[in-house]
Amino acid sequence: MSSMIKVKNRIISWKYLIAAIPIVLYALSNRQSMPFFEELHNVTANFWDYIFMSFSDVYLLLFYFFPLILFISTVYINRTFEYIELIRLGSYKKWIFTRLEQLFKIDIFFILMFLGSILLTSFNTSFSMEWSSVGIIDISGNEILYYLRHYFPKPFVALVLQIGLFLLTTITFQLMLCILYARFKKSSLLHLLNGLMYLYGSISFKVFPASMKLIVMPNYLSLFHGVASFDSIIMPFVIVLSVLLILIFIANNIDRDYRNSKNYLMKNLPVLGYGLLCLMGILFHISKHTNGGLSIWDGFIVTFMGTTNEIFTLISFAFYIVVFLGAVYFVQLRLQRYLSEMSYYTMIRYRSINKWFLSWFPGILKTITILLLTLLIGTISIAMLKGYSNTVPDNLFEIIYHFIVNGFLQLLFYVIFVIIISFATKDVFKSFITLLTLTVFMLPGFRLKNLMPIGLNSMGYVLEGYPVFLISIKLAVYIAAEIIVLLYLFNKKDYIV
Amino acid sequence: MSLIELRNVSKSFKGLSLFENLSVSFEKGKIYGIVGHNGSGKSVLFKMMCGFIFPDQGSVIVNGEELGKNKRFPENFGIIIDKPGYLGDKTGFENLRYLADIQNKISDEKIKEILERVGLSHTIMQKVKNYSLGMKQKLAIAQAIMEDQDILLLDEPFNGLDVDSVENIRDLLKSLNNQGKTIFLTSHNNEDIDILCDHVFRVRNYSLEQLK
Repeated sequence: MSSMIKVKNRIISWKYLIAAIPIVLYALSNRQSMPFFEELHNVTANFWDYIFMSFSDVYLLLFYFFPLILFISTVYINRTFEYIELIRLGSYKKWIFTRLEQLFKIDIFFILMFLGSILLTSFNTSFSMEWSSVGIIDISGNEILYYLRHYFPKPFVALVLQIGLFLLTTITFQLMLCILYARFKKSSLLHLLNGLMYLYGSISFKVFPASMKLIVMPNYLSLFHGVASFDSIIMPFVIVLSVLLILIFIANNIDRDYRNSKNYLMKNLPVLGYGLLCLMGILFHISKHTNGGLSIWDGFIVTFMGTTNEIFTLISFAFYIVVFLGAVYFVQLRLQRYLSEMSYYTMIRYRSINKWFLSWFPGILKTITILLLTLLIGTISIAMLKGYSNTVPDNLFEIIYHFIVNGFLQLLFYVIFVIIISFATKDVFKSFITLLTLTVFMLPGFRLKNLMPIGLNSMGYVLEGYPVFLISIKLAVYIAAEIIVLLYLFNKKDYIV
Repeated sequence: MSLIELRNVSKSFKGLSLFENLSVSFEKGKIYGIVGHNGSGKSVLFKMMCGFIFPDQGSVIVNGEELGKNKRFPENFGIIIDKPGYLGDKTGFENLRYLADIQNKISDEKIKEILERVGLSHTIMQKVKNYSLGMKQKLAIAQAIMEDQDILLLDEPFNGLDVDSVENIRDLLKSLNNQGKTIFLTSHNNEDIDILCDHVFRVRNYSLEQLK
């Protein structure tokens, strides 16, 4: 970007330094109480105590600093909207992200100003790279320093994460403002939203009980509040990041005609239904054991238990069918498209069935990987939110390996199985019915010493201590056999739709 | 194939129905005049053609592509819609440079050439806050044509121009049309419309009535 664009989009003005005055005054008033505290508890404060007393102070952040940034952002967004710029950018999406880039600069400016102000007020205090002894005192009124010292080994790490959390939250709200402005083009709406946000922030801070931590604003502005409420360092980040990702998704799709989006939604209703069923199943399993003293990984195993020789419950069996065979059902729907009458025209262009197959099959592998990772991350996050402990089990590698690698191999087996039957019978639906029939081998008494490659990615095997690498080998052998059959079909059998 | 096509378009704006089931197509290389009383929907029509707003029903197709499907705004459009907000404390040249930098397709020389064509070369060092209404209008025209845009949508391009400047801009638009550009313009001055336009439409009864 040229210097002119920087000029046009320049929102950083030295006059904003006036905004530092209340911060300096507030930090000074915070500082006044420290000598009494030191004397009373016979401790010595250092530089970091003064920094965090202000930088984690929810009153300063929630009632002054954060609303101020949002107000300035709103003014900037409104001031810089121009149709003649929009037509050159080519989309609202580009406009939103161009604005966000500029808003990020103002965030950095204000955070530096905030830091500068509290550094100014901590002048003449002893400097160290370690925490002072003030954070050891566990009494009311000293929660910020006590919790931060408890969770973070070094004060510098806490400062970096505090800045990161605040920045992430601010950017998330600014993105929301940009999206709303692009959609409605009314600054009054943005100002109203800022006002409501201010009100909501105050109410959530003062009125909401601890159990509503997920929707309490200060948890995402002040690191101390977030960490203390969730009893986890990463949770506040994960939640804000999730919201940010949703907003990025919305911004990416803002240029679609909403009527097209409605059609898109209707078209993808089965996928949404599948996602909802998975979510409900995960929530059901996790909620069932919330107060059972389990770790998040125990919760994960219980959720995807499936069935083994020793373990069988109807709920686990049904959930396995929904999650894994549900996924294969969508693959089968895609297959219908690939094997439709159009396949003649696509194959002739690839000039080989193998090449044609490789043009769409990797996409299916990618989908399987994304599904497994989403299930893993989603379940772990829900378990965390539900208060499961963070205890890391000795067999963590085994758990993740079994779920991801064996899960991938098992789904790959199902998918190739469906392709083979579809190709051989020219009836995609028959293949899925055949696969469903094979799930009989997941029922008690039908497992045939785990010889059948059905349900072998059940997490119950980890619980039983069954060697997960042996499962990988079994599945790999079956997949190799499937590939041989598939290649034979591709090269020998007539292709008739 | 039509350059721009509106298919069964209906649009209400701020609770007022402006177009109902409007179908019209525009060909390449012509000058189209759109007339109608204040608030009749001329600007809304232009905004729909640019993809800034979507119709409530129907579709807008530019160069064979429906806006809002794969693409939001069409390519190569030069526009004057609403009053552009300029950087008051910068010169006209700097304002154009700022806009040109978004796509980075043209040089400083090209901008100077355009400023000369619209009659602003003598003001190259003058800040926009000191521009008259007519000078700002010339600057708006300059930004609409400087990147050699194929389609020009000019809402009231002659507003605030003196007699000589009107003549100059008319000549400019004619020469752009001769180069194959398609131009849409609105004006309250019938003379502008009569002299320049190959086809004229009036916004009436929620539709476009062809007058010429």
